[in-house]
Amino acid sequence: MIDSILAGFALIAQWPTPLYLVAGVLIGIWLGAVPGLGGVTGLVLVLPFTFSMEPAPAFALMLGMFAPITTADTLSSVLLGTPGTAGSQATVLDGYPLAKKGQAERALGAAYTVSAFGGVFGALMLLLFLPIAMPLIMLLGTPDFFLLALLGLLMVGSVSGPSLAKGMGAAAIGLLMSQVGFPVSSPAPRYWFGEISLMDGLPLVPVVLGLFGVAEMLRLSLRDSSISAVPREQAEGGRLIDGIRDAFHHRWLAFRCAMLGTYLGMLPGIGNAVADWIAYGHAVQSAKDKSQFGKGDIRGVIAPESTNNAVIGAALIPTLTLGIPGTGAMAILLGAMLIHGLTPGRMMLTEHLDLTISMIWTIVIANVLAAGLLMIWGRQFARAAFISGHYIVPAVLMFLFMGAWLFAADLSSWYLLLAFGVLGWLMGEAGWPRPPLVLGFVLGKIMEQSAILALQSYALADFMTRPQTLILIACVVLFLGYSAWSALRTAKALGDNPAQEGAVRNAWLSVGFGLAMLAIFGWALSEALDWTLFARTMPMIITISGIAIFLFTITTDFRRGLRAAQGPLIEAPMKTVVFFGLLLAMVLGAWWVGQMVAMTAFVLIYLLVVGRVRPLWGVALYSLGVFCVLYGLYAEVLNVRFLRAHLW
Amino acid sequence: MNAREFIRVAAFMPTLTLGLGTLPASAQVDFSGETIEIVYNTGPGGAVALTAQLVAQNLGRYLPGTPEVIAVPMPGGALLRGIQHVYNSEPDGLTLGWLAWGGSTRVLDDPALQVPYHEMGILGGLATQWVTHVRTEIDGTEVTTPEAFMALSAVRAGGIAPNTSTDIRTAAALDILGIGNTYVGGHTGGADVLAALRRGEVDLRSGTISNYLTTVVPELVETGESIPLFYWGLPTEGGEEATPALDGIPTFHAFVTEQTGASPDGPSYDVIRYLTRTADGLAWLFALPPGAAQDMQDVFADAYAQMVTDPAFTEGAARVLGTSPEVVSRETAIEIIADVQNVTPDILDTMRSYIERHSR
Repeated sequence: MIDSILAGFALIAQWPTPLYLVAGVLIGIWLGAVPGLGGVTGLVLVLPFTFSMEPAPAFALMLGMFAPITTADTLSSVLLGTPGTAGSQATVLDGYPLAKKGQAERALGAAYTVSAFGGVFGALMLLLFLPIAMPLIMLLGTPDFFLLALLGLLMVGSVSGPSLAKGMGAAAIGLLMSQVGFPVSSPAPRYWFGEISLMDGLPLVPVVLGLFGVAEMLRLSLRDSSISAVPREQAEGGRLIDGIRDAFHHRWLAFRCAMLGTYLGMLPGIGNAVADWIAYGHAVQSAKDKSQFGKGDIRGVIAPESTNNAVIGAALIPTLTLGIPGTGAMAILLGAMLIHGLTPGRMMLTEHLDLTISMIWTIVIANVLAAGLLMIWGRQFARAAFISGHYIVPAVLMFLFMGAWLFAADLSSWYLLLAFGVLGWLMGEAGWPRPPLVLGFVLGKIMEQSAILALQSYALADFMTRPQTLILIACVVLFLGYSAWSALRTAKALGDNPAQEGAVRNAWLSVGFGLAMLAIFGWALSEALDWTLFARTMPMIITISGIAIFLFTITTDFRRGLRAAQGPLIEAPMKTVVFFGLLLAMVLGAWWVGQMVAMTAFVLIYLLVVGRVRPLWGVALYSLGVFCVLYGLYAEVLNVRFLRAHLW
Repeated sequence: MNAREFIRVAAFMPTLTLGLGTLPASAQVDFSGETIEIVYNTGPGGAVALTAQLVAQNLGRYLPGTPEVIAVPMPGGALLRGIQHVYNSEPDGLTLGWLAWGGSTRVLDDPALQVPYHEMGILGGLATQWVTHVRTEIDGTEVTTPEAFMALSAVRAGGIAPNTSTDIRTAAALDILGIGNTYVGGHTGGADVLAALRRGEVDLRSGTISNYLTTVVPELVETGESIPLFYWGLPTEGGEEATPALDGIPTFHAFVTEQTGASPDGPSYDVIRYLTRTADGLAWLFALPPGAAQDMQDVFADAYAQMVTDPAFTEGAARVLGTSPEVVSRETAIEIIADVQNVTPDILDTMRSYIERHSR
């Protein structure tokens, strides 16, 4: 084995492989830092270049690029309140509040430290478990996947803020959203409104970027200040070194979450989007003092960041050993293996063991290198938290809209992004937490698919004879009780922070939101009644539960509204209308004048009218810079197909 | 105006523009300095994506002006989004489709969602084949020979969706063999069904020849976990065509004849022959949008025909597919599309009955 480890290292050390590895890491940092780009975009970009390369440098480039993305994506989560990738959604919950307190550096320091640890841990587990991975992966079948997803959904109590009922309501919205498109075992799509872009379901990227990114940019714009509410010189305990100390202080949390990430990563179909929420939920559940979660608790950064890097190495296990790619990125890596004449399976552990181990080395080196580089640059990045938000908002919005466009080069992705931006803003104003919605959305499809497959493959008696299933059922039951008890305690402790997810807001707006959801769920239920048994079961469970929850929240909000005088319905209505109006004009205008012109015009108008930025030459330079990024980066480097102008 | 009419009008407009005198095509076909996009309608990573990448890497050398050619993913809409994008693109030669077209079963879709492929500039494509294999242990029974398989009363067949051509054929094949079958559908892809087979959640599945040769043989057949049963060979007069790469495995026709003593026939076998001819015979379609000038079509078809003999392409494709690519000529592709257009109502009804049976 030692020989193989050395042989693997020799492959990495052989020139020019180190060059490709470092290039990969630099590209990966960039892909992770810009919201909406991510690993799939990067792999698509570099894959054609690797066709003519030897396997070792090819995988050094691809894995070197892919491994640090979940380290760099913390930047966006912490500084912008927008997940850089699907793997850093939960980091937003405490990372962004830390940035608002002027402690962005601390959050980044902790995140990079545990990211490097998680990444190395995941890679070592890959090395350790490769020979025995198959029985571990095969241990869990479809009933167990359902129970695991259910266990994840129970984390809703940890991310609901003060109102568990609203958290459950938000989760029901997410679950209902997951039902859009083709059901598991029927050829007729659901809730698709005749729109082919919805036939395969709602895409995660525009949903998450809209809910968090667009909504947070509006909030930042309305605040008319920097991200940090505290001036740089007054921010205490917020240095990079403080974050590193935090990481060491909470080393066991990081260790447990890395273990969690390793196992979840090994299971095909779970992925980072689920694992980081489960890790966050674990951090909350296992904490004695939960009062700071959602307000800027460093443990809320450490847990998901340790997990999401560990997932990367572990996700390679089913890809390499079984040829089962658990995620889209792994599917591309699998394709790259085939292109290089490598067949996943036993040969990767025998004939190509040195190459397999070189991949592990790549992940280890890439994680450490990326964390080191980001530490060095961390102070510069963290300064963004102290500059005027108006300089940040238009550029970030450009990246968000391009992120949605990269996912699906279709105006429908922009409409979806904008619609979910409005929903995210509305939920914030009405005091409904967004994280449970995302949790329900990412878990809904997994739950439905695994439940239906399990019902087709197993008889009821089979479930009772599977020890692994029984253990998971026991975990679900125990956790359900603990979650209910814990969530009530957490809610009491969290109820006093107006900036927190799901904080108490105007009761009448919340009533209105609940009524709107009640109407939507009622309609969704009536639609489901005519579908086939398996197609209607999950929507009916979701809609009936949702209706009950919304009736409860409407009643309690109504009583609250009658009991006490309420503040304004929404904050800064005119500015909000202008903000969304400008974005809508950009989306509509893109069809007529093309996207580059529409986006540049949006940036120009935003800076002049909303931000009142001066001097004018600065505005012109900024807008020109945006145009250059759109043309140079997206059109030329990433080969993005822009919509052509229909006006000329 | 319904969606189909709209598509047709939209497609007609560029044709009209051409007719009004922008491009007389032919000798002027020159792509110097241009970037040509090959749109594929799946996500990046799978066989469709990788072969599209290979086509993109090699096609430019055979086109006038040696343009840059790039492959662009356009997944979504149950593979329809990419198809519609190509269909609605301008016929200027800068957008082509490398499409998992699925025409053989799309004829059952809502008319508004159907695509008139015959209007496109057909250039050729690639064919594939599917091998059906079974676990060697089913509920405590050893299944190490075809005879032991035939002695089973029922099996659970894993699949993806009720309306996929492979899942319909698997059920039809088991019906012909007289083996009871329960459909376990809803897996996310072939690898997912394979994992379910290894976990014992399904007993039997059909995988592409590429998947069979590169994964199933080394991981399951050589380890004794699974045995191959048959593959659907391209229909010939009175039988099915054998594939050298699958030497030792019988075609479905040969399997049935050997195991039952009679040749397969009837509506279920008609469906198998239709789907094998149209779905396997043209798995991936290479096409231009409707309205492309004939000379331009010829230029691309010739370039494709030359490229598929280039070792740079064939060797790359062989690595991805596990065997030499089965090239479909332009003429054959056009014939297959015509076959789909002219499919008989009986075959459509039989396919519908299988889809209904599997829909839950």
